[in-house]
Amino acid sequence: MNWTNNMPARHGIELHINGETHAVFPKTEHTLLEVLRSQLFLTGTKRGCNQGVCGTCTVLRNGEPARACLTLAHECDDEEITTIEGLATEGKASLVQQALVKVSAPQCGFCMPGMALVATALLQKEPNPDQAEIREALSGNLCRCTGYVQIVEAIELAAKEAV
Amino acid sequence: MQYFRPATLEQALALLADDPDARCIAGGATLVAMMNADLVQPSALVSLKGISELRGIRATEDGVCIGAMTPHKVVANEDRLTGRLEVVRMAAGSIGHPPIRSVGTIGGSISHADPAADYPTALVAAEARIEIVSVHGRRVIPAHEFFISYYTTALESGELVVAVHLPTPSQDSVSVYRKVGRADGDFATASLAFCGSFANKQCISASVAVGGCGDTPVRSAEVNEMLVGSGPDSPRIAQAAEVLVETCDPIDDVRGSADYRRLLVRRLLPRIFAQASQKVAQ
Amino acid sequence: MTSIVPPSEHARSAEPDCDQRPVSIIGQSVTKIDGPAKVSGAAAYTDDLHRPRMLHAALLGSSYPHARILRCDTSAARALPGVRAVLTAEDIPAQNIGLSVLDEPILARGKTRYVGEPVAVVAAETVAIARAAVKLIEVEYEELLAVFDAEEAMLPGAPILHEDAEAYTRVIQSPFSGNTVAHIELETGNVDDVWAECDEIIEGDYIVPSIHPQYMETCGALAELDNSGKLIVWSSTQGVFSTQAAIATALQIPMSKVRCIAPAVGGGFGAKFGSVEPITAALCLATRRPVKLVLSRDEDMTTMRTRHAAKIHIKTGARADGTILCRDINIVMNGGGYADMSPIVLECSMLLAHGPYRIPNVRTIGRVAYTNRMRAGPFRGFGSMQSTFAGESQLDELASRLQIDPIELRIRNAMRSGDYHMGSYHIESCHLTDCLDKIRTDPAFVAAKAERIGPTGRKRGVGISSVTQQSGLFASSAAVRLSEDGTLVLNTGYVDIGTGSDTSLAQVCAETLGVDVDQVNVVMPDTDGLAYDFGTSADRASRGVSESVYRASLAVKEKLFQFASKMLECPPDCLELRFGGKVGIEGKPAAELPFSAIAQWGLYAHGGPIIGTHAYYMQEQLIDPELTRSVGFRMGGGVWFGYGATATQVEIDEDTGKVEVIAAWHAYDVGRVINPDGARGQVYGGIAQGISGALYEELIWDSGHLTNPTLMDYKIVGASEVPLKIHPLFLENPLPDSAYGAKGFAEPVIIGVAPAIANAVADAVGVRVRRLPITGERLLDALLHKHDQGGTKA
Repeated sequence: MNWTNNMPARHGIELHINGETHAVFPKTEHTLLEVLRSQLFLTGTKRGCNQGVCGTCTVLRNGEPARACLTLAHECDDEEITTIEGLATEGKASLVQQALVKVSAPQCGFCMPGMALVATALLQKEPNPDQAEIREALSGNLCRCTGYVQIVEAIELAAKEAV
Repeated sequence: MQYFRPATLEQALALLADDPDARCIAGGATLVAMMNADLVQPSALVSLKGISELRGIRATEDGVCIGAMTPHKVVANEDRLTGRLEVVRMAAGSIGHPPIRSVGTIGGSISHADPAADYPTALVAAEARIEIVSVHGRRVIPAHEFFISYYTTALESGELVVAVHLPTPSQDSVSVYRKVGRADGDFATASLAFCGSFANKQCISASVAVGGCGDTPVRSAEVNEMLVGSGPDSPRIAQAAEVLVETCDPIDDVRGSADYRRLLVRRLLPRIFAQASQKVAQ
Repeated sequence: MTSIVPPSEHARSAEPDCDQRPVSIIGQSVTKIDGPAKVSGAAAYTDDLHRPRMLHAALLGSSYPHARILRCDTSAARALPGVRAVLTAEDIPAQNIGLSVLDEPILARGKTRYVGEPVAVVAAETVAIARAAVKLIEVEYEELLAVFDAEEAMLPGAPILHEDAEAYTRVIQSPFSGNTVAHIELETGNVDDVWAECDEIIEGDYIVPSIHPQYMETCGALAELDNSGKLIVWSSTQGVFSTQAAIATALQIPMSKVRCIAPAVGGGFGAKFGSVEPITAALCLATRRPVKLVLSRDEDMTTMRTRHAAKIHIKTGARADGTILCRDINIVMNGGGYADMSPIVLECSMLLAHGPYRIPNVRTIGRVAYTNRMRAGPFRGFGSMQSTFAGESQLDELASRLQIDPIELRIRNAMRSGDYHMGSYHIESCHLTDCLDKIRTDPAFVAAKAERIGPTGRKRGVGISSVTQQSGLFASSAAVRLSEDGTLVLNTGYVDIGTGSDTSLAQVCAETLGVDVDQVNVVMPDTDGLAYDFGTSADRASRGVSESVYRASLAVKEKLFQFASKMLECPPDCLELRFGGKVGIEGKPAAELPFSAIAQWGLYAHGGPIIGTHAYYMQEQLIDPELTRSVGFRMGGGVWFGYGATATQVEIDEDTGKVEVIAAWHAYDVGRVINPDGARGQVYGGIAQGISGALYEELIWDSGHLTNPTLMDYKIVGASEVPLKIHPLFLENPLPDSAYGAKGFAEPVIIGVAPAIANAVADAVGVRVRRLPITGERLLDALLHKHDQGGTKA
């Protein structure tokens, strides 16, 4: 028996990701994370807990950091989604990404996409954040390797270099 | 599982009336996490995203009205929530982390009715009223009647929260929200909310609620009465704290033991009372 | 013209502030090789890999902590459309695996020993179908009595987990019996003779719970077949060779038919020495299709590895002047359902349990038990974290009784270079007193110590802990090959799990051959590659693996000179390396050849490809049985010892008992810093991880069921909870016989944090908590009852 027969008909939606429009056919229960990773193969967005706690699935929904694992794909058809793959412009890493590399922030790297996106959103809203604001913005993204210190340094550096 | 995105409240209510196993999706922070963990299997999802009348904060003749789909972040930044209503703002700002606060909504949060969550405690102390609608009509009930037990509210099948009403804060009213968790952004081991007003350093009205210490936010008319007429140095505060502790019914869980929760309530009520009285001085 | 100073001269001439050596790649914050890929999202971890027609797998875990499997009916699961294979123990060879004792089946055979132990596995077209199929598997269990506490498990009459323990093959030979996986004793001098000489004797119990490593990337594997039918297994592992061996053993196939590769790995912390690879490989062989199995967070938290819970009883005796005469230590560890690396973790815990002090009489007895919990395995600190919490906490208690400053007490008893641990273990380099002094005199620490009250009126205090750890273990190797364009290929098999080893090893190679780091191609860890490595652990990259890389690079240099000498027609000892990948004649600037010319000469004219290799096994210590008496103590492989100190400043909320860490210091003699930005990153991370374990983390079981298998219920520190001020203080006393003098330091950063916090809490509010984590509840209880907080069960 064809295993696809038992799947209910799905209707297609358009997702606007990193400035491109993708036609996808998610089930109702498919999260944005699922669609990004398994249907669009944009694997930069990670699955660390699937419960909305670790933040490795961070994407930007209309510029705001959000958990892709807690976002249903169907809820996003009228939004601008930015994933980590969308930060670079024409292959050149963004200031935030360059700063993270410059201060040697990445260790295992699994949290980095989420951190980079949160940092990007923060600097867009607040070009000169102080340490407390930076740490507050990062508070929803867990890292087990770095102790966060060099990630904060990178954001301070990016803020300075953006001037 | 079907997915609907109704454009009006009427359409949403009709869908819910039609299918008792359908669930609303507000911000999704709680519902999608539960779906991911296979804890719920709704027959259909009714998205509230497209219903603009559910969003936003507006002034009404008797106070402030927060639309059910208003995200925590917006409530946390709302300047009109002053005095006794500041506690709602403080609670909203304590929920989870920034990305959760961008999508989580007040309607979704209170409908989930986790007594360790931040809103239920603050809304009970602030004497909020919850506006509920269904195809059969509209009703408004006090917050403390809305929360019935763990994850259980007064919502009947087909009903939906549309707004939270808060009474106009009086000039001299103040409020404090204090949450104790294991780590930043955690649910509360115990939380205390105080709303009230002072004159000449004496309390003239008080409304206290405790979170994380029972199956709903804990409140006590007796405690509120004992606080009225007291200043921060009054021995009645400690006595009130004892009554409050006795009214609580905490359990042991990963966030702490029942004994620790009682200790926190006993020790923190005098602190937040003192803090509130100092806010008046400012 | 620069010339490369041989490392031995580096070591002799280099003092910490010396500027004589030429600009060197060692000591530079070279950009991490994997940095750009990790920040762009391009770095591929195991779950990011995808193959056409790939199947997805899901596990069925046991419902009971201890049970016989009476019946397993997989027919309904097999019949579900989209399911391609369902495996139980019946479908694979009856062969156990294990890192010290071969006691572990990859799918439960006959009985299960912890809740969540894999009983069956499904491969299906989608994850959803695989998980649905798992729910259709019917298992009938006969529940057996279970035991969860280590001491209870070792009492007569306790339910026995491994009835066939006698028949197991043991890699590590330690005495065992019943549920006791290993019983080890280690002794020097005679403690019983000297109690009478002590002016002060102090005794107590210290309890450390099980915690989960919480690497951000959960365990997973993707198995596929290559053109010759050989298995290729990609996995989130820190040891491709031990993973390869486990797969081959479990499935009873030759290692020549198994290739194991590590893509990007999202953290390991010691706990990723093999996970679901054998099961995934079995599914691949059964279906002849690629199969991917990635654990969810709660699956990882219930089936993989915890840190060993431990109960440590220490009795210390000292003279009034602070001289410690003896320490009597008893360690009980909870090993969970399978032995994993428990005996080795126990040994490590025992060897250093008395601390880095000149104590002439030490007796340490250690036992690790099987219990019906998930297995405990290596985790950063490797046993030392537990024993250091006990020893260093008690040392402060002793200091208090003797009315001696805690730092002064440590300095008075500190070991020095040339001393011996436990009688026979030679310490080639120890600068502990310098590290303690470095913290003691640090202006920020001095200020913190004087600051008794914080800005909001809360009490503050400082505390310190000595840190010592053994580094090394087992074998490394390296192969360096020169490509015809003059760039280099470096193969070590060592997995960079986030420690930056790819970069630092490239730095070693680049430094030795005088090229830029970007000229070195660091090959992915791959068992098909030439070089073998035991696995990422114990600071091995900085010394053992570096040594291999250094000597393999020297072998390349030798070959370069050999060929160049013919090409330039001059003797090899007139040649020199010039920066930028060139070989020239000393004194003749114009006479030089680029590496590419030499390589091509070898490939196309004469001599052959230029390849350098080196295999390394550090010399084992010779034990004098007169000085060091032991039972069952083996200390596999060569090790070396590292020393340092950690200090913290805390602030206490006396209403709630909650502890906040305001600042931290970590002083360590690292020999030589290879990459400064990378090095301080390791300190920040280790301190944060240590704070997290000291204040928040505890796996909590109820009758064998984990009650907090989620990141919501099991908290780790976030960005707003790590102190703003963490001070890494690196001392550089280069080791004379180590490539560039580096000693390694990153693993032990975590070790002293918990005792430093416990000591700081005692300094701030005068109560002692002897059980981790120091939650608000525990401390408040101690404060209110004015008693010290201990515990009874591990």
